[in-house]
Amino acid sequence: MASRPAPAPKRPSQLPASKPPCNTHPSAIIADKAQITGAHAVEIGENAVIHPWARIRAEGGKVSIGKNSMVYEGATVGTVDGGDVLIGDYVNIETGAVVEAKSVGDGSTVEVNAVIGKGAVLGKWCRVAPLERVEAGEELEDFTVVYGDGQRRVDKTTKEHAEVRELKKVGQEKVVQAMRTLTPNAMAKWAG
Amino acid sequence: MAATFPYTHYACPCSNLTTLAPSAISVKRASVIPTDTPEDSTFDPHDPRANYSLSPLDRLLFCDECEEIRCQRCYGEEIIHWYCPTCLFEVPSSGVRSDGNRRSRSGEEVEESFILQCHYCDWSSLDIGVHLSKPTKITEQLAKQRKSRVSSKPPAGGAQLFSQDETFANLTTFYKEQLSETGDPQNPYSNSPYSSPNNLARIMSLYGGLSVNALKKTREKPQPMREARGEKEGMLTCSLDNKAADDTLLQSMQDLEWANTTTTEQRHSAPANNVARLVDELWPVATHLRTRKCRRCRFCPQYLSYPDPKLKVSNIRYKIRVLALNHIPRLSIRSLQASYPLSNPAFCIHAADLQQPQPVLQSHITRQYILTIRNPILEPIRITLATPTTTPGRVTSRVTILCPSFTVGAAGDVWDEALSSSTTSMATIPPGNGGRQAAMESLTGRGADESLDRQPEAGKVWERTKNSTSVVLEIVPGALKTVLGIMPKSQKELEEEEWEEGDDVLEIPIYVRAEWEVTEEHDDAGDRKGGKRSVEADGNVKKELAFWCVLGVGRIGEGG
Repeated sequence: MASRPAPAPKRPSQLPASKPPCNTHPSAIIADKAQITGAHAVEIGENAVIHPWARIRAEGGKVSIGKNSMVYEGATVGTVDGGDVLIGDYVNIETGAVVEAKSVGDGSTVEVNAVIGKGAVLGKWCRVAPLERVEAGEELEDFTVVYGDGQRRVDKTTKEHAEVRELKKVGQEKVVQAMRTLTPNAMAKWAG
Repeated sequence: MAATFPYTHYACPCSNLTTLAPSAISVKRASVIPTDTPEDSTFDPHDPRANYSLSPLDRLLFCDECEEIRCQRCYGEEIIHWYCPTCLFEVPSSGVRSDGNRRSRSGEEVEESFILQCHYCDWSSLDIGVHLSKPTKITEQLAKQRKSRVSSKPPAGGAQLFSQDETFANLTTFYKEQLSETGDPQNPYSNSPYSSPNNLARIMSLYGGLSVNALKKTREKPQPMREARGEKEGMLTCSLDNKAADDTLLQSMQDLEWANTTTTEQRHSAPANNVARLVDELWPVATHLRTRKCRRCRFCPQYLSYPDPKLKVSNIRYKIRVLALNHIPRLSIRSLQASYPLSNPAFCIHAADLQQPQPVLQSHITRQYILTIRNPILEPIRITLATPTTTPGRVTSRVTILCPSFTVGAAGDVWDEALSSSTTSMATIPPGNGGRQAAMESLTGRGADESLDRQPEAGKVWERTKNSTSVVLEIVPGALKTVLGIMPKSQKELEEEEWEEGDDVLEIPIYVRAEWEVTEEHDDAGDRKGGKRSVEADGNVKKELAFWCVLGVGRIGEGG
């Protein structure tokens, strides 16, 4: 087996200056390399997964992550000075996304490198496609899809068919299960 | 025409501008075409029709059966196979004929039925109410659902008897009938003298029966192909009277947003979508398959270019590829007095260096150019060049080839070249030099003599390397404007002097003839032709190839 030089550490050691008061559900998984900073409260729900290098900034207000939700690598959730951020259940915040919204409804997905501005409100079962932007203060109705170059449409399929919503929930649970086995839990570091 | 000088364009023998070759090429005199040949046997590159037969070397193929150059008009293209652009899955031609040239796979499961869904924007076929019963043969299932939907809906507006789909089907049938009636060329390679089975049947019936019917049929001329005349044949009428339908359409376009109206691209994606004005009315269309094509000579069914059928990503290998590049002698021209340094484009650091300054030629000043002929084939060839004394066209320049007849060596493989490199380098380096100067010369490729005055001499070759020979051309560019005359010019003469674009480009037509011998065993093309060929006493077959080519030298500047 070829030997590789050890990767140089990208950042200095992990313990932030101020560890925020975390109220995490015992079944949640928080990776060791995740970054949780700030003074406000951080709430992490049942079965949630916080991936390595995810950033939760409770500096401007509290951050709450719902059940079966995931925050992927490099994503940033929370504001520096903008108020609380509430992420609902079954929500995926994908790699590199920046979410400063006031709230993200259940079942929504914020895809890779998307940007949600401060104080925005996303409804339930929304979908923000990769690299899309939702401006500060904007409100998206339930079932809105943001795609293309800023275009919006209403996701009729999910809206009108309950079985599609059920399937999506089941799908999300499966993905969460898979991620749980892959991410080593370092909750002890963050709990309490 | 090419934008950068100097360039070489080759003429394909297909056009009648090039087939009339000069009847005799005099070898003794420098480069004069016998003046009694008619004017149109000389290729005039300024002729507006010349553009159609000239191509740069990279566009030409070569048929080694007919042993002639083939330009883009002389080869036909055929489709070898179809493949999906996304997954590169190859569809055999039988599949294309049955399913049409579109993809017919992949769907997604919802309960026990299947739907089509977009992973990007979450649209699904449930939005138009389409369920699929199985994940295969999607095109078929969609077509069935479409038909039942369209037939159940009463015709909108009442102006049309048939729906869009039916009209399309009627029109297709109509055109197919027209084609078979007027007689299309069935097989270009069959040896039958009759161009279509209809003609054959007609002539047979001419001799077959003398009944009134048979005679009547023979008197009928085949009708030329016509267009559809009624709705049964597929004609689509548009009436402006249909106000109610237009009004409802306009109203819905106002209510919904711009994003909900269809684009032209969407409407043209399938015949079913041609009348869809709102996005809700669009019907899912499978991805268009892409094709790989092969090229065949039009005169003999020989493949000129056949890509490797094993489809891999970025597979650029060819099973057969016969390029003119590898079969005809290649000409290139450069100025003898290198007034600007000729830098190799691979070594340029700045983008600005790549654009070499285009030389502007001055009228009435003699310039010397080096014409290099490169030989790609494995036998040494004898080249004869001919060009008219003055270039045809409005601006006449004088051209003289100092050595119109010479030989060029054979191209060998890399090993031959490496093994014999010692002998060739001896030829180009002046004798008696060893050490540093010889090394410098072999690097720069020039003899030491070139910096001294080495005068071009008539009848002598300028430079010779393993598979190329260079000779010198003397060119005196002509004047752009005619000298002011004393007599006032009539209107007609003034018109004739009107400037046309491209008149100031100095182009030289050269007729190249190459002769070489192949031994009988290697003469594959002759074997295939089977006819008699002139076999020399020692078992060699003489071969010859001749073509016109045009050398673009430069633009003539003002101030002559």
